[in-house]
Amino acid sequence: MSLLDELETLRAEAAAGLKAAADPAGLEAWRIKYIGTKGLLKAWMKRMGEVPKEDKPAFGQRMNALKDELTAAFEQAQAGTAAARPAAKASFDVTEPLPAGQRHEFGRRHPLTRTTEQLRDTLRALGFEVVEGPEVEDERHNFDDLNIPADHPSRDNWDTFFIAKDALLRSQTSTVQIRVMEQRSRTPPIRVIAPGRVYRPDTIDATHASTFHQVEGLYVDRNVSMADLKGTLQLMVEGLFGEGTRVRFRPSFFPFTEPSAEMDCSCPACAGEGCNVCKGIGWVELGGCGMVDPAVFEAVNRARGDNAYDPEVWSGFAFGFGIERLCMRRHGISDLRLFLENDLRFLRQT
Amino acid sequence: MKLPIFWLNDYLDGGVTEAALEQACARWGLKPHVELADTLGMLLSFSGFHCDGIEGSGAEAVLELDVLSNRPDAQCVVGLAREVAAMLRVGFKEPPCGIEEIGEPVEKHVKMRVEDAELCPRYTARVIRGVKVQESPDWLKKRLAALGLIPRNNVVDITNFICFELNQPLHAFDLKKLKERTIVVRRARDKEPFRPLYGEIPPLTSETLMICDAERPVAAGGVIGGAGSEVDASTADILLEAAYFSPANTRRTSRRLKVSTDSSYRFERGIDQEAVDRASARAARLIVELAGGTLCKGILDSNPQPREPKSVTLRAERLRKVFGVDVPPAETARHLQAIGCEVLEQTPEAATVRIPSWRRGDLEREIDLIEEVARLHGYHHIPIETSMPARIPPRGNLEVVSDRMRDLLTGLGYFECVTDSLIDPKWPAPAVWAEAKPLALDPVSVMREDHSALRNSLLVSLMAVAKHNQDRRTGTGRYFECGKVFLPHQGKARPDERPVLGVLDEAGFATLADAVLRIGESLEVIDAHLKLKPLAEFGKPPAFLVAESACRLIRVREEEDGGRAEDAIGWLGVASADLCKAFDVKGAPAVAEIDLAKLASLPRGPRRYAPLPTQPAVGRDLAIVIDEAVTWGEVQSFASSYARNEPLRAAKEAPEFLSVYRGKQIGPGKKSLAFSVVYRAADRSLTDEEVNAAHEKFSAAVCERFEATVRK
Repeated sequence: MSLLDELETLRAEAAAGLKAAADPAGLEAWRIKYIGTKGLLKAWMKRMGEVPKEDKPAFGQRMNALKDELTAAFEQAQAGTAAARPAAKASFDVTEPLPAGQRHEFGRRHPLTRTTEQLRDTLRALGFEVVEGPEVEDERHNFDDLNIPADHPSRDNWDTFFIAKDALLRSQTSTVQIRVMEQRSRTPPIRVIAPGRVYRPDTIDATHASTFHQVEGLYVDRNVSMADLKGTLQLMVEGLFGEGTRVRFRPSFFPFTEPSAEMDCSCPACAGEGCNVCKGIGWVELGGCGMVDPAVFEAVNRARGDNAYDPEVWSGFAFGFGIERLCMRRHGISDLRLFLENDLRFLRQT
Repeated sequence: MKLPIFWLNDYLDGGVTEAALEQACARWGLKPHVELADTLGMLLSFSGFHCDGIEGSGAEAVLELDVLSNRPDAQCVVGLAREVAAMLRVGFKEPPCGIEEIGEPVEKHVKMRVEDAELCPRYTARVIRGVKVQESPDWLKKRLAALGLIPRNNVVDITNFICFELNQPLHAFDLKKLKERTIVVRRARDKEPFRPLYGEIPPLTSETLMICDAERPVAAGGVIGGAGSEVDASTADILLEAAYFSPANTRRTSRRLKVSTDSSYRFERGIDQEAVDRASARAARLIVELAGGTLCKGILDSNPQPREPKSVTLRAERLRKVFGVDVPPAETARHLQAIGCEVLEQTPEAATVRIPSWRRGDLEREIDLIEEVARLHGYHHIPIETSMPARIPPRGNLEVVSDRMRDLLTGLGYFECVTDSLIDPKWPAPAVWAEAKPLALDPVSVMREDHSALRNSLLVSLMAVAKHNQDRRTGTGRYFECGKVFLPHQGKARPDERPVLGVLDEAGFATLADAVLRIGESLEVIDAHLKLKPLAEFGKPPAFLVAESACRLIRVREEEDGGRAEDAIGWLGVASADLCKAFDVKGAPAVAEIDLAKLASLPRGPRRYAPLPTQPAVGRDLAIVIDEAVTWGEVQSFASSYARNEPLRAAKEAPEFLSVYRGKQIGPGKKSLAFSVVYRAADRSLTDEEVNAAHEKFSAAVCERFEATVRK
């Protein structure tokens, strides 16, 4: 048998051996046996000396072709088993996090901002524009034009921080009603909300703060009635607490609205069944509202020097909510002081 | 206001019954409670008298009602009985006021003179002679005790009883203690001596209305009686005062004297001026009944300007327009009659009614009647209407910019804070926006010293937040706040309120600067950009920042004529050691404060699209060894301006910072700066040779400009 014939036998054996190698270990053994640095092919190359001179080129070509063939076959077989086997466990731990310092970090908006944004988004969808007013006000905007005359007991309900004579920290966002309506650049209809800070001298504890937030709403148009007010607030609580939340009104008194109402909504925690959040009543108090008192329109007309807000032509509603109170309900927060303390553990949670 | 049910029952036909409550609940769509008082409390809550609590049960129950400040008439049992009668639709019984005046004429025993009818529009006096001051009977003591009052003697108890029954404060003087048996109603003389029944008051001024005898004040009108003229066990003859004092003046007096009584509380809210004499008669009748004695004939009554009867017209159309409910005219009339209005005229379109004297304070206009009808008809009738015209409301720049800042900074890992605008005046006052100290609150309205000034920067508030969190080891602090600071406004009472963005970053200067420099991109600013300018270039660094770190955030506007306008819109730097020490904050955090109004005034996108390059880019890195004093900013701006004159450089593709290295191989006072630049031609692919040549030239220019050597 010539060397070339023997080589053909080797090729056949190698092909069969490769087929039989089922796992990576078998493959590796095959590689070492045939194409490794100390393998059979290398050993065969050393037998070149035995080949007659005239056959050397043919033998060399044959050896090279065989080496290429076996290497290619090996790589193909290796790829095949690699695709078939499961990923090696140690090399890919999906639960292993990025090293500290390389992780994505994101912060959060303050919970009061998010509650305000939720209110704002719902009310924007109803056509309300967001406006602002100053936090340091004069007595006219904070009291007089809101129909809270000097020496009137209703001023007692609005104890106030003063900075100087006729400069005070606003005690309610209702001041923005006046600020907006007295702008000469605007005429009714008006549809605005005014979120912002308000201040009242109060002892600071779990349920009282001297700085807190409200959102005021004002809608003035022809033929605005309490039914529009109820409809708007109904949609607003659905936006805040989900579909199926209901509203109800109870009579109340605010100097700048008449008729006035306290607005309750069905308890978001128990859907009105009665629970410890609503103290078994099924309803929770959300804020005050009512129809803009004609005296407020008249004060605005006086400030503008015209009759743009003729109470015989225009009517309107206004409402005001404490944002902290809503936010506390949304997150189950029981201590008001957490809001201004900004403990990161609180901010990360809420 | 406390409302005992057994007392309420005195004025209701048949009293409060289960049957009446059930019918009322049915009309209001409410479910009755098991306890009668609970049901009554619920019904009152829905008609405007919120029930805060109930003590006891059955007829002995006492309801605690929140009477709103527009309803002074309901600060008494009779006033509330009218409300209950209206709601339950049961008959209301007036308390008996009939009297027998069998004594001598009152003028014979007392002289009365009212000198100031403005502060005291009505003053009446009756005299009862020969009374016996003793303990009150049980029915009277029980009623006072139910309100938490301590019974004293029959005369004093009756005056208190009338105060809570009819809302008419009364005062009984011992007639023999009044000098010359005279009453003069006048303003006090300056510093005139007066000793109240209890407590102490500041010296009197001429603004205080006093009830005096011939010589001296014996009571502060409507507020508190004086010592020395009160009824005691030896009293035989009584002067009974029933008056109407000016609400505004009573309020001022009560505030000035720092005395608030059941009497001043009622006068300052306004009582029924027309019912003064009836309440006086009711009290006289009870005194004669319980203490004996003889009622003198007649009453001294100073009432120079009795109120004219008042009538108001309510249009059905207006009621419907405001209330949103169609109330049948007969129902409207019924509701108004139930609260004491007399219907003078009624058509299907309108009703004209006379306002009862006890409601003269709050029922003056049509809208007041609309509220009454709506309240008694029930707010549960209001339908839900959602047909407002559709509208896309505009959005203000400040709102948009604040929102985007929140998006950017929370996305980059910062937490939003909301801090108190009221700060501790003892905190340091860094001159971020103004040199002046924070505005202080008026000392009289200060509740807490550490919340008595208005912040003039957010920096201090964020330092306090950092301190709070460092103490609690809550992790690396990265905070921001969008809020207002308050800066003194020359010549104006009210300060300038400036919306600003404050950021504090414990991760350090470079992290914060990286965040701040992304603001322009997040706002899609056009024709302008933001950059940091080291303060050394144009001014003295502020004391609140570490000097070499202090920079101004500058907005650069590209003007239409090709010029550039710069102005500062904020600060950035590392908090100074002094500031950190003042707040006991460790680790020298980086801080920034930016004027949001100025950010909001930057022109914003949508940005214009520039066509993508069609030819490939070739990047080349360059590492140079330079003096420490040379900044990246200088190198960067040189490289950018060089690019404008190098045809193979894409001028808009800015040089990119790679790294900086300092160490032994470089030597002291030097640093190695690596950056890359992009070569690209508009019309063809560049060859290596071209790029190499251009880059060599550029390297040489950089080295020449900065006395640098290329680091291989």
